[in-house]
Amino acid sequence: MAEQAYEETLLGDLRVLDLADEKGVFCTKILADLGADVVKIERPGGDPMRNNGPFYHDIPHRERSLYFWQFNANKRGITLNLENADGRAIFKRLIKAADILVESYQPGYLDGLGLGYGELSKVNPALIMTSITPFGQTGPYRDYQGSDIVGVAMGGMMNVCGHPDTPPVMPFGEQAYHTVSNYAAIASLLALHHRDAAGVGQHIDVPMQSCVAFSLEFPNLWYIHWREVLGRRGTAHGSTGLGAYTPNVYACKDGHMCTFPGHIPTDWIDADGMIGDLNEPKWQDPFTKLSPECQAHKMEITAAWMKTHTKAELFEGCQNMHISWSPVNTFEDLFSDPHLKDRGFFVPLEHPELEETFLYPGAPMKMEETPWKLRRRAPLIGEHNLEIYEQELGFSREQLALLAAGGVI
Amino acid sequence: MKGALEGIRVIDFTRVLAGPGAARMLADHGAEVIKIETLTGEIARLVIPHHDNVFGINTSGYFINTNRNKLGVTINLSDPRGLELAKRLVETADVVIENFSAGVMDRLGLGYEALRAVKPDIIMVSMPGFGQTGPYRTYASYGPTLQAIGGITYLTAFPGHEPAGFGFSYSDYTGGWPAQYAILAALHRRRKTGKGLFIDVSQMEALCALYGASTLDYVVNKRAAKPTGNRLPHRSAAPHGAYRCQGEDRWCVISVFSEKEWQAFCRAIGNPAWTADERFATLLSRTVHMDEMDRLIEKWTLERSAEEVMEIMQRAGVAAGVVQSSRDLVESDPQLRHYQFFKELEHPVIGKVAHENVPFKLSKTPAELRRPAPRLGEHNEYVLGEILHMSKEQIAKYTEEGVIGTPDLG
Repeated sequence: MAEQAYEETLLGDLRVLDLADEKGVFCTKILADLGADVVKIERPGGDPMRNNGPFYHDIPHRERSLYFWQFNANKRGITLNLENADGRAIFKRLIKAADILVESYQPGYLDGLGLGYGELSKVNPALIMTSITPFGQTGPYRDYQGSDIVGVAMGGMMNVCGHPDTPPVMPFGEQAYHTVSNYAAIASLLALHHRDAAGVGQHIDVPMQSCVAFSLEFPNLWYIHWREVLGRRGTAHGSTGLGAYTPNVYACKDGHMCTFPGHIPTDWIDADGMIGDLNEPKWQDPFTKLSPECQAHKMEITAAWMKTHTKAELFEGCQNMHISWSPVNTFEDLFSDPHLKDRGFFVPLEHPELEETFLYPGAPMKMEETPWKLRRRAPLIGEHNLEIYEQELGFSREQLALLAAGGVI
Repeated sequence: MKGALEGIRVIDFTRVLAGPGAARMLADHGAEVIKIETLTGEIARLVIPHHDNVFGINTSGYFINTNRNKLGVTINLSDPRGLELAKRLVETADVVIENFSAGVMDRLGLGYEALRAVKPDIIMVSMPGFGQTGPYRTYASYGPTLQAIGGITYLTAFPGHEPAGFGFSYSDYTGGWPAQYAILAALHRRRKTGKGLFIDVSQMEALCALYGASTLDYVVNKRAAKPTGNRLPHRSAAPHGAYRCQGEDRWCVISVFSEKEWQAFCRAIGNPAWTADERFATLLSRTVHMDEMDRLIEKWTLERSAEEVMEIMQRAGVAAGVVQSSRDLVESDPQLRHYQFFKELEHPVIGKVAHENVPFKLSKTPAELRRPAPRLGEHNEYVLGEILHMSKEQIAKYTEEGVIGTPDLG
């Protein structure tokens, strides 16, 4: 059975307990997508994340949060009250059989319940405990509150997003949460490698702020090596240095295109009769060519020409000339994108109780022998209580009724 | 202290950031990463910022930050003897990472099948912009164009404004993450089954997987995500945004989700009369009158520094934070300093210099910055001599004949 599981997935032999909120819910999703048996532990009545919109047909309902669906597909779900002594005892029994625990409470909360790493590692020395917080387990900001926008602000990402004449703009789609979740998954698997070799678990401290600060490419390096601050420069890239810089994005006939600095399809523009004076010797001088004035002039002519072509024409035409431009896709464009279609990016997942199947975002990678798969929709509230509490831990139905009445599960 | 990946050897054929950044994470945790460069060096050696603006093949801060802890060799892969060296290195390795356009490794004779023939349990990651299959597989890309085609450039903007997106290649990180966790998960499987694996990462898809519930909202509710600036349209959050503060281009973000947080927010700004106004009394009414409320809040924040706003809010239990610049991060953020997020390493050409440290900490096997990035060809002799057991004479002959490069250590 176990051998079979390895054949199909990478982490099929692992049990992960998921106590994470929005900051860490994508970490456990990554582990579940790699095949781990992720058991989400919700408070009785359901996780607060179930209140996050949007909802199925816009009708708020704790079983119909699309946010909850997206981030908890492939997981199983149980309810358990950790603030109750019986609940804590049950939790410790779950810890015994677990490989990885992912949690995102404020520092000290689990310690206060007697469920900190010190206690849990006594129950299971091989346990890997991954703790995700806004700022870290220690340090002057350890007790600060943090949301996604606080993460991208304090981590330095927001300061390089947006146009100079607008406020800083938050990256779309809760990117601080996605960033910290990805690093938390990587960190958990680094610890797993050590455990596989040495047999011991460990505690991992994953601060959202530093994870964001680690994912900025240029700004920190500009400051370290140049003592210069990289601010908001619209769509110009940090690799275009100080002083005058050229934006990457320009309007075309049916939307916007993203260009590549310095690379323009001169022959094509010329063939369309829109090259202007760009072929005149004064713009061809090798020194003048590199000047900001020349760049600006070149892009002015190019931008005027781009308005006469569609995204699709410019994309295919330029790529065929080895000029790596691409369309600025709108969200709906992604659903008709031929490449995503060909690679089967969006994958169907059945919701049996609704008798409906919906497309979900799919795999970031393909692995022929151990395919990335959506195996089950997000759990209903307490859906797997019986599987875990009765079949695995051996509680009787009577005991479970008592625990439910006592608000434990 | 031993790193988590002690004993693992990685052959890194990648360039610029997405691939080298992924290999860096393995190197920082103790794997021996051997970076293979062309004789003139990887292109990132040309990427700004060069230290103190002094251009040199070994002075790019970009290259230095991304390639610390790695060994560097320069091999001419268009020479069959160079190819043979690369293959022999793979034979001794656990993991191979590459980010050439699809098909290039196959043409070089370094495709997965060829490498599996010399090392049956090799774990190989290919991670170009668009993956190994599909109509765009041979298309070239870089961060900004991937972000554009992946939709996040369009979505990261204020409504009614031009697309803004990121001033840097975020997709180099989002593409690197799956490579990292897939390699680690494959190492786990290899230990249990003895099997290697080929991992085909498409950076475009890696990015498209990070938009939360937007796909389901489109599929279920037929609503396509639009730019929403600093607001969260489907979540109960008001206020939620960046507010201008005292000073030049200084901002503090504030996010309020629950009724309790709203009450705390009101107390923190001294319960001004407007907060009792019926336009702002409930979450629903606040979301309707968001622009008006934001103007009133900004009147208050403009009289304070961004740091002061953050402290007042955080003391009240409201999530708030300064929109920090890199100067704030490098010079003054006490939390990053506490975590030694910027850590100095001695570099033989530019001297002591700060590097971005790994952003998380494993309690028993923490990452460690052990050695600076390799100068051009710095480890040719070590790698060919110690790992491939070539004699000094052979190495000298190969150097002379251009199979491997002449080290440039200045």
